[in-house]
Amino acid sequence: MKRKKIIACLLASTMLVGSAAALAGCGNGGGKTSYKVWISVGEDPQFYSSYNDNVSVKYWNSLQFEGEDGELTDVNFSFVSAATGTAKTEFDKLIGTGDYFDIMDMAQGSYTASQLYEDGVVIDLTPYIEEQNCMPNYLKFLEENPSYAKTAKTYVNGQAKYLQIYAYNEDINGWGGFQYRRDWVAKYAKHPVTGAAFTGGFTNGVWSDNVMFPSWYNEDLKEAYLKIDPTWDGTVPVFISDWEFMLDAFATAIKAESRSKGYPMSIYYPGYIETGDLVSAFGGGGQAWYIDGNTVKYGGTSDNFKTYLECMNNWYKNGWLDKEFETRSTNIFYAVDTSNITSGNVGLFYSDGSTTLSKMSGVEGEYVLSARQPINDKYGAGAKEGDPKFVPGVNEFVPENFYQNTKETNSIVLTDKMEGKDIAACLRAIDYLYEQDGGCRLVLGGLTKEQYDTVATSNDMFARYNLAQTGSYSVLDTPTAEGYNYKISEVIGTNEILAKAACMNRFVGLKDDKCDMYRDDEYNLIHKEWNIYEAKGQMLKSFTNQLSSANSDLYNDNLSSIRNKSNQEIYKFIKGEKSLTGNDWSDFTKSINRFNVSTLTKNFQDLYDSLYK
Amino acid sequence: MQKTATANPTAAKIVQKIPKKSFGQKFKRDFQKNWIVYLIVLPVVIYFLIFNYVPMFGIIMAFQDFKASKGFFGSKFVGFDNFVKLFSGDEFGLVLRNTTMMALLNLTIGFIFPIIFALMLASVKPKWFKRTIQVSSYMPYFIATVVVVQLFVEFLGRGGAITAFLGLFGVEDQNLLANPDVPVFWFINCGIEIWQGCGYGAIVYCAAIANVNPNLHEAAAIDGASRWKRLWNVTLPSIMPLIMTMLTLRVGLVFTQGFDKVILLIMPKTQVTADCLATYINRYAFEGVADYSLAAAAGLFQSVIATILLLVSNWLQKRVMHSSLF
Repeated sequence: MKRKKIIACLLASTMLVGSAAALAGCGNGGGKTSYKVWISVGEDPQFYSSYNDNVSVKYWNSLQFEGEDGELTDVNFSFVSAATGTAKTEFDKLIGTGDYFDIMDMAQGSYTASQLYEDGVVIDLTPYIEEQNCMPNYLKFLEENPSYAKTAKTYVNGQAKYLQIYAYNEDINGWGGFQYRRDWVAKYAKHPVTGAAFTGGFTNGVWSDNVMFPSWYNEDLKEAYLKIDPTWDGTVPVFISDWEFMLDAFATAIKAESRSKGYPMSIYYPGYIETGDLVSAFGGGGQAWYIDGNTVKYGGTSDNFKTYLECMNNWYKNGWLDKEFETRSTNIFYAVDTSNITSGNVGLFYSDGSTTLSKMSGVEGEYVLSARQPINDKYGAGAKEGDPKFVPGVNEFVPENFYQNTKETNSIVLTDKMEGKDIAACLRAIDYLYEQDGGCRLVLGGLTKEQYDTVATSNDMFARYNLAQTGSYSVLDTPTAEGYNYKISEVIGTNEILAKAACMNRFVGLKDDKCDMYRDDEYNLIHKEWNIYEAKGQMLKSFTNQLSSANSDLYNDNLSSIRNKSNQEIYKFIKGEKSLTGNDWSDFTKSINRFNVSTLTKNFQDLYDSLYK
Repeated sequence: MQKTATANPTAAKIVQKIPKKSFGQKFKRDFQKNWIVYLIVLPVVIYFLIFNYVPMFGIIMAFQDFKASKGFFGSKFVGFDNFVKLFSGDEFGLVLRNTTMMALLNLTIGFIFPIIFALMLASVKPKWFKRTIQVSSYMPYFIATVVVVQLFVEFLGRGGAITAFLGLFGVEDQNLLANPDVPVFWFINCGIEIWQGCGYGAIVYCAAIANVNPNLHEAAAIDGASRWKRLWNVTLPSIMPLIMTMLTLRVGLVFTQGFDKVILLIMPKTQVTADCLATYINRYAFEGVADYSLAAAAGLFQSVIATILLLVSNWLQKRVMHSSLF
C-alpha cells in the first residue's frame, strides 16, 4: 500500500511539474530592450532549427542602438516562427487569444493593420518616425521612392499614420516566371525564314545555339519592341507568336521522343494565375483587381481576359496545353506537375527557378532557359498581327500584372505588448536594416564553419578575410570605389536556401542588391528575363490594407465567392466545354458581377484617388 | 426492498434509523477510500474538460461577427445572421445534397459490407485461410488516409488499374476522380471507405458470430437446416442486437465522419458533386479569406443534425429491439 502511495504521489508530482513547466513557457516577458518577434515562415531546418540561431540575428543583437534616454543600449530580438502551413491560423489565434508578440509579421492573417489599430492591438509609430526621427534610413528610401511612400502610411479615420514597417527590395527582382526547354527549340524548331535546322549544344558545359524567333523578322514588331528593350536580338521569345513557334516545336519533340506523359505547356489548375501573369500578355489582369494607369479595373470579366481565354482555348485545341490541367488542384502555382517537368516531359512551365532549373540545366543535353512575359500580337480585336492599328510596344500591351516583381514585400507591426519597452531603440535597430551597411552586413552576418563547409569545401574566404569561424563579423569595414561588393555566392555557391537563411530573408529591411547575395551566373541568366517588366499594375498589400474595415470585410467576403466560381468555370472555356462567343461568357460575367464587383471597383478607385490624386 | 421493509417491521425500523447520505457525503467517503483511483482518473477528466468541453464555448462564434482581434467577448453578436447567410448561400443546397448522399451511401452500402464480410468469413472452414483473409482485410485501416487517397489517385486516374478494369465494360479511359457527373464521386468515396474500413469493421461482427451458441447451430443442423438457412435464421438473429447498436452509432456519426478523404480528393471541377459540409467548413475556416463565423455556423448545423440523428436512431432501437445505447 505504501509503495502504491509513493507511486501515485510521484505521478501527481510529475504532472504538476510538467504543467508548471508548460505554463512557464507561455510568458511574453523580457527586459526593456528585449523584443519578441513572430514571423510567418521560418527557415529550412537543415541549417537553423530555430530562427534565433541565424547568425545574422546574433550579429544584429550584438550591436547597440540609441534608446529613449539618448544612451546607447543593447538590444535583444528573439524570433518565433509559425509551423509550415499554419501561419494564417496561428496569426489569427495569437491575435484572438491576446498572446501575440511585441512585433508581428503581417504577411499572413485575416486582419489589416488599420483593423488591428482600431482594436488596440497595433501601436502608432508616427511620433517615433516623424518627431523622434528613429528611422531615417527607412524615410530616405521612401523619399527616393515616392510611389511606395504613398501607401507606407495607413489612413485611419482620415489620418495618415505609420502603423506598418514594410520590407523593400532596392531593385526589382523577379521571384518566378516561365521557363522553357531551349534544347527542344534548338533541336526541333526550324529557322522561321530559311526553314533550316538550328544547331545547339554544350561545349565544355556551356550551352550555345543559333536559335532565332519569328518576331525578329517582322519589321513592325522588331522596330516597336526595340524601343522597349534595345538589347533584344531575336534570340529570345518576346511575343505570343514566338511562344506558339516554341509550342509547336515542343509538340514535335514530344512526338519524336515518344514521351507518352509529355505535353508542351503546363498551366495552373484554374486556367490562370490570379495576379495575372500570362493573362497580362493580353493587357489585363486575372480574376482580381489591378491598376491600369490611374484607373482601378477588375480583370476577370474584361475583354482582355476573354482574349486570353480565346488564346488558351486555341492552344488547348492544338494539343499544346496539359490535357488534365484542371485536375491538378493540389499543386501550387509555381510547382505544377513537377515530377513530369523534372522528368523532362514538359516544354514550357511556370517556376520559381530554384526547384526545376538546377535539376535539368546541363543534364544529358537538356537545357532550360527562362522566358520573359510574352506580349500578345495575335489574338483579340485590334491586336492582330499585320493589323495597321496594332502598334506593339505601347503601354497597354506591356505586361504589368504578375506575381511580385515589385519593390515592396512583407511588413511588420509593433503591438501594445511593447508598452513599457524602449520603442525608440527597437525602431533604430530595425532602421539599421535599411542602411546600406546594415543590409549588407546582415547578408554576410556570418555562417558557421560547419555550414560553410557543407557548401563550399574548397573556399578560402575565412582565411582570406581573417574571419572568425563562428560568430559575427564583417568582410569590409568601408565601401570600395564600386560600393559594397560583398560576394555571398563565394561562400554559399548556388545554395539559395542557405543564402536566404543567412540574410534574415523573412524579416523586414532593405534588401540591398549591391551585396550580390547569391547571384551566380545561372541565377543572373534566369532573372534577366524575369526582370524585364515591372509589375506596376499589381495592387500592393499596402494599398488594399488601406480599405476601411467595412470595405475590407466586403472585399474579403466576395473574394472567396469570386475565386470559388472562377475556379469552377474558367477551365471550361479553355477546354471548349463552354463557348466564349455565345451566352456562356455573358452568363459567367453576370455570375461574377453579382459578387459586388462594381461596388468593390468603386471602393478601390475612391481609395486610389484619395491616395494618389 | 420496500416490500421487505414493510413485511418485517424490525428491519423497517432499522432502515429508518440510518440517515440518508447526500451525494457530497457519499463522494467524500468514497474519495477518502479510493483517492488513488481518483488521482489516476484526474488527468483524463482534465483532458476531456480542456480539449472537449472548454472548446465548445467556441460555438459562440456562430452567433457573432467574429473578429480574432476582438476575441469572443469583444466581437459583435449578430443572432442568427450567420445561419441565414449559410442557408441562403448559393453553395448550401449543393453542399447539403452531396453530404446527405455520401452519408446515405456510407450508411447503407458502407455499413452492410462489413456484416456480409463477417458472415462470409464465419462460413469459411480452414482456420489458416480465415485468419489470413481477416488480417489482410483490416490492414488498410492502418494506412494513413493521405496514402490511401494517393493510391486511389493512381488506381482511378487515366490508365489506372480500376479505370482499365472498367474499360472492359465499355467505360471510357478517363480520370474518374475528375468526373463531375452524378453519382461518380459519391460511389468513389463510398468505395474507398469500404476498402479501408470493411475488414476492421468486420472484427466486431466476427467476434459476435464466434460467440453464437454452437448448440443452436447443432440443433438447426439436426433439423435439416442448410448452411444458408443456419446463417439466415441462427447467426444473423443472434448478432442483430449488435448490428442495431452499431447502426445507431453509425447514424449518429454519419454526418461527421468519413469526409477526410473528400477534403483530399475534391477539386474545383468536381465541386458540384464532392463539396460537402466538411469541405465547406474547411474552405471558410482555413482557405483563402477566412470567415470563422460562417464556418462555425456550418459546423454547429452539422453537429445538431448528427445529434438529432443519434437520438432518433436510439429511439428507434429502443422501439424495435427493446434495447438502447442510452
